[in-house]
Amino acid sequence: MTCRVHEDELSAYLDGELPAARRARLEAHLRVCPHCQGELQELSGISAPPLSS
Amino acid sequence: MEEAVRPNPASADHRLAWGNDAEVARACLRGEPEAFQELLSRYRKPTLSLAYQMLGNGEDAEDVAQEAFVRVFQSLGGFRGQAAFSTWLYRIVTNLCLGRIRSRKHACVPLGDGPEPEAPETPSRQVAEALVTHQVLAKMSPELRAVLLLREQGELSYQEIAASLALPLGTVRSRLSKARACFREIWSEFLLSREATP
Repeated sequence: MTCRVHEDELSAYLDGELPAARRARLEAHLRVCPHCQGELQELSGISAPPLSS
Repeated sequence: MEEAVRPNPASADHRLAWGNDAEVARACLRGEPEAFQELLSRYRKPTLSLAYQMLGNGEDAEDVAQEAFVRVFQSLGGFRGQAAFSTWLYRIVTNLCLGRIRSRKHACVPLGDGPEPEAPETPSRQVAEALVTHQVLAKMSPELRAVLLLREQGELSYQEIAASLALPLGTVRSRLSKARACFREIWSEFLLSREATP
């Protein structure tokens, strides 16, 4: 499975909206993929004050 | 819309007297005119805000908010109360906005061509951020903007967003990831260009 597919699921993962099986698969990928780890970190910084207000 | 006929909507007692949204909706259906005023006072501001962020223009946002409440009034009988009233309302507002954006495209008027929001001379940090947010959102595609606003402003679940926009759940997941990445990218570009301007 490519990073693209995993990137598509990062938001849902952060929002706790990913079903368990998908979450497990994504977490396994995150452990070995620095690119997706970086994407996740960037995304988690987005709960920016202007949007969450 | 008449503000004067409402009792003070800000007071907690007033809110308690009316009860939750579903109870107010039922009172509307019983034909109590004050109940509709109550729904308006609860939801006019968030409705306007969502429409404004979607459309980038205050006048259009007013029109859409007006139309959304007319639709709510007309179809309140169809509101089953399974979803929250706010979810139902935001779904109506978002779809009205998307419809309006589509008809703008036919008229070849690009989004965000409306007047720029006027900034006070020395905006507070909060106001400045809100202005940048507004400009960043205006640069996103309507589809990405809609999912992002429904999630962040409307606080809808992925399931509710999927139902609101008639999208598969998987599309909501991927669209939200794209929307957030897109927001982040435009936001960074915006800040960089500001720093570059003396």
